Amino acid sequence: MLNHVLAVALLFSVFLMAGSKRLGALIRAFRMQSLTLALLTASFARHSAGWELWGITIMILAVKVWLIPLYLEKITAEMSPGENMGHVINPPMSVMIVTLFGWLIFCFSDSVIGTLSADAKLNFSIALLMVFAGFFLMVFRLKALAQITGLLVMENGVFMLASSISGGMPFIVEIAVFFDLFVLVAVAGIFVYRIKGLFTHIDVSRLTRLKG
Amino acid sequence: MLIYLILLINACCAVLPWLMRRHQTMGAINIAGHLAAFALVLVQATVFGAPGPLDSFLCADALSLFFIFTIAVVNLAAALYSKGYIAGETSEGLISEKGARLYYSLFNIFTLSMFFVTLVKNLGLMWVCVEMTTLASAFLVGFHTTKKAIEAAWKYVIICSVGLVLALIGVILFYYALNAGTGAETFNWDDMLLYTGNFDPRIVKIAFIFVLVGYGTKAGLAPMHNWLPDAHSQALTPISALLSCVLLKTSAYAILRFMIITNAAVGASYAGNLTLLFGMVSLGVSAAFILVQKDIKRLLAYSSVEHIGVVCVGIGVGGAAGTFGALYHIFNHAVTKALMFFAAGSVAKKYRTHNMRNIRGVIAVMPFTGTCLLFGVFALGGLPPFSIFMSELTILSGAFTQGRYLVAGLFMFFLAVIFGALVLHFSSLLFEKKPKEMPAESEPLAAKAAFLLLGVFMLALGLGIPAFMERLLRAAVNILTGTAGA
Repeated sequence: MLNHVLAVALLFSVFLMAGSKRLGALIRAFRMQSLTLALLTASFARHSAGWELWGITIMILAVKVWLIPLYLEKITAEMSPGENMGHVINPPMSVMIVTLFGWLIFCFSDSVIGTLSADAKLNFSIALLMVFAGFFLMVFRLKALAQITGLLVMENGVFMLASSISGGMPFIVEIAVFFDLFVLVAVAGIFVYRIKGLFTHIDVSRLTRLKG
Repeated sequence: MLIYLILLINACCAVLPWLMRRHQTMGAINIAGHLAAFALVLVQATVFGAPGPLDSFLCADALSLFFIFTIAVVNLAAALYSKGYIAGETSEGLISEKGARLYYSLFNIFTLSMFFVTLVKNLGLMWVCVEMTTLASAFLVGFHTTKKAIEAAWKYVIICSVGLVLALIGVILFYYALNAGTGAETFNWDDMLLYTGNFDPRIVKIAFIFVLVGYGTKAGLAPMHNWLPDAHSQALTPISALLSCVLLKTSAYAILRFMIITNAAVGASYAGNLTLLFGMVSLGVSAAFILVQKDIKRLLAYSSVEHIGVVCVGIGVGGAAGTFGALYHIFNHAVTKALMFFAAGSVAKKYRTHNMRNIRGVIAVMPFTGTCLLFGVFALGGLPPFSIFMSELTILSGAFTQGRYLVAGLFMFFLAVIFGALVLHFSSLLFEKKPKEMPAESEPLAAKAAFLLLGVFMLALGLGIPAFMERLLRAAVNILTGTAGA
C-alpha cells in the first residue's frame, strides 16, 4: 500500500515538473521527487536482508535531497531569482504531452516486460516516464539550470528503473554512479557560472556561435 | 603486473604537476611517464601477450590490450606535442603556470580513465569510467574561457551525459535480462557470457539499441554527433587529438563488449546490421559536411565521424575480414588523425585563424609541418601505401566476399567524395603563395618527435603488420566473432 502511494507521488512529481513555470519551483519539485525516491528505497530496504539498500537510501538523502538541490538553489539565487525557464512549449501543453507519453509508455511496458508482477510493471512504467520527462525538460526548456535539472530527473528515472526491475544494482556500482552524478552537477554548475560570466545570460538557445 | 604499473605511472603523472613549479619540468615528466607506459605496453604485447583476467575487477584480454596499445601510442604523441604547445601558450600569456599545472593533471586523469574503460570487467563501472572521461575532458575543451570554448564544452557535457544516461538504461536492461533469465547477480561481462543462452532475446535487443545510441553519442556516430565538431575544434590541440583518436574509440570499445554478449544471445546479424546502419549514416553525413567545411579543425572533426563510421561498417559487415579491418582501422585512424590534428593545430596557431580560405602556402612557411600535413591528407584519404588504405581495403574485401555489393558500393562512393573534398581543401592551403609578411619557422624538437613517431606508424603499417600486432588483432577478432578457444 505504502509503495503504491509513493509510486503515485513520483508520478505526480513528474507532472509537477512539466507544469512548473519558474526555476525555483522546478528545483523544489526535484527535491520532493528525490525524497519520495528515498522513501521508496527505504521501503524496499525494510523487506530486504542486506544493508546495501539502507546505504543507498542515505546516499539519496545526502546527495539528491540535500547537496544537489542546495547547490542549484545557490546558483539560481545568485543568477536569476524568480526568473522563468524559457519555455519552448508552455506549461499546460507540456503537461498534456507528458500525459500522452505516459499512456504510450504504459502500453509499451506491458508488451516488453509481461512476465513481471503488476507492482514491478507499474514502477517500471513510472521510471520510464521519468526518463522521458527529464529528456523533455532538457529539450524544451532553454535555461541552462533547467537542463541540468532535466538530466537529474532522467537519472532519477534510471535509478528507479534499476530498483524496480532488478532489485537495484550492486552496491559498488550505485556508489560509483552517485559519485559520478555529483561530479557531473559540480562541473555543469561551474560551466553555468562561466556562461553567465561571458554571455551575461544562461539561455542556452542563444549559444549559437559554433555552426556547420 | 605491467598493466598495474602503467596505471600507477599514469596516476603519478596526474599528481606530480601539483608538486612542481615550472611548466617545462611538468612537460618533461609527462613525456617520461607516457614513454614509460608505452614501453611497458609494448613489452606486454610483444613478449607476454594478453594476460587475461588480472583480478576480480580488471581483465586485459587481447581486445583490451589492443585498445590499451592504441591509447598508449596516442598518449605518448600527445605528451610530446603538449610540451612545446604549452610552452608556446604560456609565453604568449594565454595559459598561466597554474593553468599548465591543471592542464597536465587533467590530461593524465583523462588518459587514466580511458585506460580503466578498457580494463574493468564490471559493465556498470565501465559506464562510470566513460562518464569520467567526459568530465575530465570537459575542462580541457573549455580550457580557454572564450565564448566559443565554453559553448562547446557545455554542449559536450550535456549531450554526452544524456547519451550516457540512455547507455545506463541499456546496461541495466542487460543486467535485468541476466537476472530474470538465470537469477545470477553480476555485472561482469565475462560472467554474463556464461549465461547468454538464458537471456530473453527481446530484452537483449532493446537493451542493445539503448547501448548503441548511448555510447554511440559519445563515439560520435551520426546523427548523435552534434557535440563532436564543436568540442574537437575548440579543445586545446593535443586534447583534440586525444578526443578524436582514442576517446571515440573507447566508447566504441564499450559498444563492442555489449555486442559480444548480444551476438551470443540473439545471433550475429542483429547487432551487426544496426551498427552497419549507423556507420553508413555517419559516412554520408560526414561526407556532406567535409565537402563544405571552412574551419580546418572542424573538417578534421567531421573526418573523425567518417572514420568511426568506417569502423562501424567494418564491425557491421563482420566476419573475420570485416572485424579485422575495423580493429586495424581503429589504430590506423588514431595515428593518422593525431598527426593531422597536431599539424593543423600548429598551422592554425601560426596563421592565427582556423579558416582554411585565409591559410595559404603552408609548405613554404612551415616546411616540416607542411610536409607532414601533405602526407597526412593522402593517408587520411586512404591512398596507398599508407596504413588507412590497408584497413579500408580489408573491410571492403570483407563486404565483397559476403556478397554485400550495395554496402561496398556506398562505402566506396562516400570515401571517394571525402577524398576529393580533402584534396580540394588542402591543395590550396598547402601550395598557394604564402603571405608576404609571414616568416618561415622551425618546430620545437619534441613536436617533431611526435610527428615522426606517428608518421612511422602511419607508413610502416601500410607496408606490413608487425607480427605481435597481427597476433593481437587475430586474437581480438576471435573474441569479437565468438570463435575464441574454438
